[in-house]
Amino acid sequence: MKLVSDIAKRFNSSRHLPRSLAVMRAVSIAGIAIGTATLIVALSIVAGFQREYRRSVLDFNAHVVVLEANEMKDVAPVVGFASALRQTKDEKKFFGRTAFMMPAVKAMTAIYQSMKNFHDDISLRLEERPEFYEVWEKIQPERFKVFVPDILLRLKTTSEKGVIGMTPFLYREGLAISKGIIKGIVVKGVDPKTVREVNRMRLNLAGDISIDDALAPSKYLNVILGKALFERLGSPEKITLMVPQTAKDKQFVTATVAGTFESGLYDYDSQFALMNIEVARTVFETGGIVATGVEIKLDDPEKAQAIAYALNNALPSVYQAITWDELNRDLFEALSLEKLVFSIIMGILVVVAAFNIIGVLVLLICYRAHEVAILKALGIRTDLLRKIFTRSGVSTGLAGTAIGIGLGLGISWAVKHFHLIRLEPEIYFLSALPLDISWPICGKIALFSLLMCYVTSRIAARRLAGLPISEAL
Amino acid sequence: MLLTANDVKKSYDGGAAALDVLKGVDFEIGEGNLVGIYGASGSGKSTLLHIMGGLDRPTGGKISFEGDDINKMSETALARFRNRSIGFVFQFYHLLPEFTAIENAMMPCLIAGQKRKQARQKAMEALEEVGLSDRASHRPSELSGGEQQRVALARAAVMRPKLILADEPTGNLDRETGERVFDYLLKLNRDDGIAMLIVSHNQELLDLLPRKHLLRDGKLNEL
Repeated sequence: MKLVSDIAKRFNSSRHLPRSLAVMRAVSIAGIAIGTATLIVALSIVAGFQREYRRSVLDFNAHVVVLEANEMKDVAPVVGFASALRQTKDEKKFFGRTAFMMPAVKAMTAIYQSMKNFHDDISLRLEERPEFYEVWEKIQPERFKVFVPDILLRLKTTSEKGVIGMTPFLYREGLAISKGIIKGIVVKGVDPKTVREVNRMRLNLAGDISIDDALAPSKYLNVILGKALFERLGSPEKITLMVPQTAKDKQFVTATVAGTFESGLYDYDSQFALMNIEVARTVFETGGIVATGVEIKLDDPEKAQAIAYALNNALPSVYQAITWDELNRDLFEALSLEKLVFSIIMGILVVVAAFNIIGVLVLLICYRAHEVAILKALGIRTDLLRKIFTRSGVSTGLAGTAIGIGLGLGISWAVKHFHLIRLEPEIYFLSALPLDISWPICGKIALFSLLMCYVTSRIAARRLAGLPISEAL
Repeated sequence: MLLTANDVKKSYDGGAAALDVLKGVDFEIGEGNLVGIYGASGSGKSTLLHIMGGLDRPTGGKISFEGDDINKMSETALARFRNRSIGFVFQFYHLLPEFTAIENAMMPCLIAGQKRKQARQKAMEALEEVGLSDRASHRPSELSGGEQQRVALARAAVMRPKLILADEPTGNLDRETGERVFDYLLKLNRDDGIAMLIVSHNQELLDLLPRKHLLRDGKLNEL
């Protein structure tokens, strides 16, 4: 309403306010701004960590891992079925260009499905009335598919095929001995030909060679160590591996360090050593066991659930397909909890700041008591008066929120851009604080902050009803 | 009868010594009437006027406006009553300082929910009636006391109420300006048929009115 905004604007304009009130309002604007900014920075940091952890986890791990109860004697069934879900290069290109149409595809598929269901339902009811049934059956539900362009159908089948890479792996445990240091490690046997399809960790190999060459079976046993593990062992050129073997002379093998890898997660970098899977089979004498499982990479990690479901349905029950988020549930749960705790604590900050508005509004109402009484004498309704002062409070909140968002985004940007906060890479795997600025989060924070300001303004505006007119005039 | 007051009492609770300002006032005013109430300062004139205009509640007694008991009205109905049926003129004008003369005069119309354009037109007519149309865009601080009181008159009359309650309308003005304002009040009564209840301690002015009452010791007597 124009009247409300007009009066609110003039009541609120600092030109007409006493200094103390203007100062107090500035303080409450600052409070809300700081609260909002802190909330944005904190949640940006959590989101940044979440993104970085996720990226690291996805770099080192596959999106879906297929395991067999007692390890695999043959990877062919898994590889065979997963290959059926593989995207061809052509399809990948096609999907990349048209992925934005996916929501439309989903909607149209749903419409088609419901039309088909409706048709089937009517058919069932008409079975006893042959004269109608014949006519009805002429309408083939498949005809509705005409409405769905071919490109969309193709897009749907393309998107269901999400596999872009797969590789077998073998996990074994052993002891690494070098320069008087003994460390328990996990040896991961990988297939150097296919491992890069799945794994995107950073490799640092001696001499500019590929992982294929680095891990090629030769008369020497080559390993690639995690960077932290490599440093822990004193940056050796060769290490001695102690492996669980019955024959004494095979318990100790010497391995050449062909390079290091960095996954981004300290846990992995300090524990893992990579070895050619074929070599690992011999060194660890696995017998008939070929691999622990098969790692599968998808074009989109979000498809993991669906692909794992498809694999679990298609493969015999001794196999189990597990998604990346199931494998790393602890980590992501901890991050979510951190996010929740941050939201609550910083949210309380905003609430406290918003309560300042009550003070400002009560003062404003006292200061404007005379004008309020005049308006009441002229017959203004109390609910309009309440709106006028609520508006004043909300506009204070709006100013605070806007400044806060600007401040929060500015700080986040500066921290991100200039790497203002350095981290210990060995603990956090990152050298600078990661920040992920997300607009939906900013929107939610702004909404929350404004809601708080509205609520506190309403609380303050309740005082207006009891204001005596006669005495204030 | 337009407005009737029956045995209206008002006392202020001052702990042990309660202050009885009005001790049973009976009064009535008909449509288009012109009535004055005289009383020394502190005699409760303003209190009585505020009670009759629904700005204050009496401790006892009954006020009816066109037969309706205003003390039984809801907060919203009372606001509506003040907006449409009553116009107030105060000793200290009580204009809104941040609004111009015409905006002040428009305010009752806007509160009643009228369109801005229509409200502006009515306010302009009301300002013309008190001879102030050339000062429409001035703020109260840029107007003299007499001019401010005329804006207040325009504001009281803009909704064409049935009754204007004027509380010492000339009390803050010099003699000549006061008489001029008073003339405008009489003109509104004469031309528009608005009933007028004027409270003052200035007997000379009240002598011009056809009906006068005296408020003394909390009682009202016709002179």
